[in-house]
Amino acid sequence: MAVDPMKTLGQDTPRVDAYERVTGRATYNRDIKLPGMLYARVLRSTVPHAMVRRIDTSKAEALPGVRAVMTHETHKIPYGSGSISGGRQYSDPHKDITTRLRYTFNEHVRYVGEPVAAVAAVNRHIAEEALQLIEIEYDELPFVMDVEEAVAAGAPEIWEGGNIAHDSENRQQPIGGQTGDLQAGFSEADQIFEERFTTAFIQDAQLEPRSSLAHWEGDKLILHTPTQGVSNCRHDTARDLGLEDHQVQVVCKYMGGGFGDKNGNYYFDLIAAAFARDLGVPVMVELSRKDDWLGTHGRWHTVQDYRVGVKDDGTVTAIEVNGKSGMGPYLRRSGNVSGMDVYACENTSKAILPVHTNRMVSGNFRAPAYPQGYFAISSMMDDVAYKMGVDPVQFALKNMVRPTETKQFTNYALDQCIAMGAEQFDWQRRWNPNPGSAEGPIKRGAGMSFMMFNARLGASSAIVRAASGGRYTVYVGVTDIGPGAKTTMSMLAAETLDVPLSSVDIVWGDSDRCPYSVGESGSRCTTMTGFAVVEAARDLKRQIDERGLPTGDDVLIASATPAPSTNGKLREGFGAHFAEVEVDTQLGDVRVTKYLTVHESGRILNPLPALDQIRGAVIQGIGQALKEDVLYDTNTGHPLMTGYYFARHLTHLDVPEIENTFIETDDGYGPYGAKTVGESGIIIAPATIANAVYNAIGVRMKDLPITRDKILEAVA
Amino acid sequence: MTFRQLTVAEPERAEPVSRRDFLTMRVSEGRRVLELSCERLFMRYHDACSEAAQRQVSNHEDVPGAADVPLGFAMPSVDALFDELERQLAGVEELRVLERGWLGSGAFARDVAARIDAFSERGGIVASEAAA
Repeated sequence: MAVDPMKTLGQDTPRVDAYERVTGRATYNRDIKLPGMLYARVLRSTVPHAMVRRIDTSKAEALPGVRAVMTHETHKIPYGSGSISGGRQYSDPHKDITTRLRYTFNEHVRYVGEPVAAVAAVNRHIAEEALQLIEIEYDELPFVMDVEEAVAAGAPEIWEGGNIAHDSENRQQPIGGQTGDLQAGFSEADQIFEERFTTAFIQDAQLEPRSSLAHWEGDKLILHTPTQGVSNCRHDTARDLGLEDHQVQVVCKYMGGGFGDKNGNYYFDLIAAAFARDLGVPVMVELSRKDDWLGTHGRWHTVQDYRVGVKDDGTVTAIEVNGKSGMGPYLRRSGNVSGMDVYACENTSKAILPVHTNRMVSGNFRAPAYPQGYFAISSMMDDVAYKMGVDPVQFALKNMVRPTETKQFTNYALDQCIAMGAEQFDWQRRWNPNPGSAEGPIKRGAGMSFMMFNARLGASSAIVRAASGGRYTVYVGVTDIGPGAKTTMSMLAAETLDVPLSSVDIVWGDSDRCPYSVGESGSRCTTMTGFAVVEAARDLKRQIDERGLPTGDDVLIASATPAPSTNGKLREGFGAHFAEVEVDTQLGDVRVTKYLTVHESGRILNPLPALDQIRGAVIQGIGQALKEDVLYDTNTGHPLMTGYYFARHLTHLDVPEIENTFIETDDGYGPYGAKTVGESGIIIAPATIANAVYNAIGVRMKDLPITRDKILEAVA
Repeated sequence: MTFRQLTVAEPERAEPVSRRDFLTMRVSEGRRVLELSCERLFMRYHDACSEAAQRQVSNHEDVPGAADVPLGFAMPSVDALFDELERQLAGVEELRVLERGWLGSGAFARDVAARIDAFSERGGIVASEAAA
């Protein structure tokens, strides 16, 4: 159903903190200065796999200005969320049973970049100088960089018991499962197709290098850190340090990008906390750009083997995928791959093994399991469509998931997204039915893909307060990682209270001053915390109606902790992307000449950042398709790019105009029908580009990124 | 901090600080004071009552069902929260109530007021700062 216009929501609204951000008044973590504060730096392993035989910190300790040095010999602090969560919230029982617990510093180092020591000093320069004085001798071990080699017989064991990652119950099981009857599905098929697809590790590459500032007030830790979830970071940190949650206060006021992997704590939070406790003064751990590259995370690389059964009429009858995800040596996140659900086929099997290697640790990156999963299955289905002689758009419309009696949606718009996108893109004119047949060295082609992404509801909290003078304050545990959550939360309150946005203030990013929040990941901030804001504002409005606006020192307070559900229905955002590319078959260059998207994301609460989210995500997706890959020297186990230099991120010169249309709906769930936006745009961008490249050159590119050398090899 | 214990010189008995005491940072005997932030107490109370906080929803969005797995960890209950407040109050002579506006009305206000009244009846001094 279409949406009714509203007063505040739906209006292009600049961010409520835009002025602070553009004038430099916004206080980012490194802007904080506390009296007596020390600075800390982290020393990292220079070998991919080894036991630390000897570590001598005496020269560093003797350097004037150095206050303390920390190693695995001095501090054994568990870093649980960095190693064992594997897709689930880190808990005490989890910590107790795991056999693969990571510590802040490990005697057994497992990748180049693993922390081996840290120095706290009166300034950052002395801290850095001191790092150079630490002497370490390693007993080096064989290492493995490739997921296939890591699970082969005789591979170096990164963990005792083999390199398949443990789940939260110490089982080495694949992620996935089966639906329907796979064998019956293949028996029913007239043709069966098999292909392998691979994707590269990609760094999240946030603009702000990370830092963490810790200080203690008695037995309470105050931690300033750029986290996507103050509540989750508080919980993780408390678990690691053996504290109760309320003994940790996490504060994050501004951050320079999140992109997914900051909803939790980091080892440097623990280093800062331990230094501050030991030394009795505030300590800030700062990561350099190189540290940030080596010592945080990126999208897991994958190998995916697909097998698809199809009837002669183009109906897909069976889909099977077996794959492996490269997680680095610790299982910070799941390693899942997604995408199969967007097809109607009922006979499916998925088995994805998260595998340890001696590369840097993988983690969440904007729609963590999706772009690599959708690249593979969408490429596979695109290939099948061509081999069956069917237009990919028609193949999509035939095989896309649809509502059924057993699969009900709160609303459904996938068909509309595909049809509208095809029309706006002028698919019939741009698509070449004979891939690679264009004359000349510059070959043009068009590709498309389609997606859905869960717009889940769930428990969250918010508080809204009214004071005299018609001022309202929203208290929410969000940290605003980029999409403008503070503005959205304020707009939701203003709309519900029927007051101007300018009368609404917001308190955010402080676990002591805000209620619990799920944090900003999984595109859940608006649907979950935003829903709580609406509920709290409704309650406040009722109170005002009954008692009048407060005067003097009086206030009215309303809180909400809703836990809404969809009563078993699927709640999804839908989308379709279309791209046109020009491939220079002499130079191997791919230029995106047109990119068009159609998204159904429920009601669009603030069109301005919503469009930015789609565009930004598409740009990241194009980068994943064509450029980005953290390459390694496989002889030494060293990454070859450890910063923006050589990382081949897209620049403005590489980015085409990205057109987007939102199909606005209100399914009656969520805050005024809003769904997800933040991650939707990236999910099918790599697949769309890859399919367009195929249409241009007539060769299927099965390995991301599609770099020049691969194009030239393909067309040679 | 929700609670902060301080030791302050009692104004009616306070004498001028000697130069020696000042230089040696000597603290004269004083009253033990508890500062109570009603804003922070309200947040903890709210979380103690909140299903969301009690379940600590999974921060991992890409594993189906991950959010439904029990964590085996619970936030402190409302009773535990007020037990802590009472323990803190037992060790002080004065309570300074900060951000009193957060007391508002309802169960939270009643629960806190009951502890404050009991403290006062025991002879404790209760001081409030301006509502915030």
